[in-house]
Amino acid sequence: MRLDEDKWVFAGGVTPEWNWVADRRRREALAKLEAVDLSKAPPGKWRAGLDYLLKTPGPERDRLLLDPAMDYWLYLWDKHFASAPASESDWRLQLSLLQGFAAALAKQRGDPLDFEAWPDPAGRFYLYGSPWWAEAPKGPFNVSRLELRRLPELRPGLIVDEQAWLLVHGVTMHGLGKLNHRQLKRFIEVLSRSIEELRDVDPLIEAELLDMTRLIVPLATPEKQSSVSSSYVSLRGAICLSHAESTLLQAETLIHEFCHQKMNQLLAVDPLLLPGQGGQVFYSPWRPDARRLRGLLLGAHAFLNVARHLLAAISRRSFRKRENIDTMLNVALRLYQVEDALRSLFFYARFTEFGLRFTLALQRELGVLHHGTLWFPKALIKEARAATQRHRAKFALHDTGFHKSAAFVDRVKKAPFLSPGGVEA
Amino acid sequence: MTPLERDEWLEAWAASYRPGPIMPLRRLLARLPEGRWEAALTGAPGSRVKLRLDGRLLLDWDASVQRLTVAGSEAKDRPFDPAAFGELEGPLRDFASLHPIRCAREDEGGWSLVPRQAIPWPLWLRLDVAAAFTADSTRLSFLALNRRVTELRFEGERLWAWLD
Repeated sequence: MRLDEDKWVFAGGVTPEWNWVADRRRREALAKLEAVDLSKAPPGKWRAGLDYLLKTPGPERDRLLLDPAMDYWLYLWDKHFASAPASESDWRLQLSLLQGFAAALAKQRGDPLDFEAWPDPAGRFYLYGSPWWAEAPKGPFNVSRLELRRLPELRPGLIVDEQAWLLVHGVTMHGLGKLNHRQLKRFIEVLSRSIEELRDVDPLIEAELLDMTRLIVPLATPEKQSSVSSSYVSLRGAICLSHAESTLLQAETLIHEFCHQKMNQLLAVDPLLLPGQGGQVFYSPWRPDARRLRGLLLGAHAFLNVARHLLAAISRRSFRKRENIDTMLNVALRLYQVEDALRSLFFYARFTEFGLRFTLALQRELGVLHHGTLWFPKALIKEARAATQRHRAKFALHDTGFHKSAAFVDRVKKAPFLSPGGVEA
Repeated sequence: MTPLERDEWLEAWAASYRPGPIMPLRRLLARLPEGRWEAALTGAPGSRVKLRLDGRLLLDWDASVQRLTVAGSEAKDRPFDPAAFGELEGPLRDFASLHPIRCAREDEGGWSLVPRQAIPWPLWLRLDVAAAFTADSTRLSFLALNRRVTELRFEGERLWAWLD
């Protein structure tokens, strides 16, 4: 299929092309499951779960194969079990987690939950790919004897959880939220309103987000920061974010992380950048440290989408003046940052055919959004431009896309002729 | 590089890495005829520098032991076949698809890959095969500027990139 860049730069909705890309991932997951070799597994009734999964096709299994838990299970399998020796306890855990998927499928289809498993390190058993879980006795136990409970859901099929072992084991960038009942209820309320507001502004991105995202993990909000968020290549369909009372901020965060997730799924079908270009790291307009070309591309895509949403939101709603100004500044900053990232991409990268169309489309949409800021106060635009220039002066190697290392700055001070135009400040 | 560009480059290299006295090298360079020069940057910067005249006369200066080696080129060119490079096949294939390789070159000291068209240094650095240079890429960029990489040389674990 010839990918249409206009459906990926911004949301195109749940189209046949969207489904085709998801289907590639689904088929890859199924092929990996079919290749699972249990010959080194410890004694136990492990085959039942794997056989049930492999022999029960249908829409319920298709959905399961695209669950972030499945993504992470397959990642753990490749990393620890496919070619390296593992301990008996590790095998037991990995295969019990697999029984969780089989049990989820069976529950959805109304089939018996006759699978044997061991509890996870927290003493629980999750029916991964569903909102069901249970406190588990010492193993081995039969899943059909467990008293199932239900996880909270933001929407049907979109669970909110921070305890399921397989879902949070890979969440390493930030601390988990550890929300009590009241805090969790508020977290879900605000996010739910954010998604409704998202739909009002752009129903296509809401449709995509709800189709792909299956899990929200609450994170702890660090001191001195308004919010944190993350998503992971090995956990596609999961968004991790901390609580904020602002529905606009939560929508911005959801869009940002969802865009990364969407790109991670797309990159499995087309890498956008030709292979062999991962050697150098580059100046990132969003961070003090450097990033590879892929990071710049994902950042440009995510922040362009964020800027577009914020611009549409402030055009439609009347905020308090302070909030309006903050949002306009946010939009302007993002546009200049995206511009810098795209500049580096066009300087240094070689793209696939689709990658070039996609990146040119990003550049074109950036141009359109600049027009959308013509009504912003001039002083605000100037402030945004100055902020991005200050960041560049601090972290970039003059007008290149390279990152400026601290060691080099020291050297330049000692050898002034190495620095065109004189000694570095 | 012209001889003047070569001398400026050498001065910049010496100021950046402070390798030790380079007078013996300068004295020899002053006696050599005009010609087209190339300089080599290494992925492990230190006290060693290489210069090449007209693709044939090779000067290898190690300032730490004050040793200058002068040699003619005895390299043999052969067609480039990524499959012949074992575990390097994948990365070299990726390299060749981005920047086609004219030939592989071998001599006693090591082997080289010669791209069909010289590659500008900043575009060179982004390549996987250039990973050894990227730790010092900011400083090396001031030596390489927008010069072009004409040859990537492998001497054991040490990598050199020849610049025009």
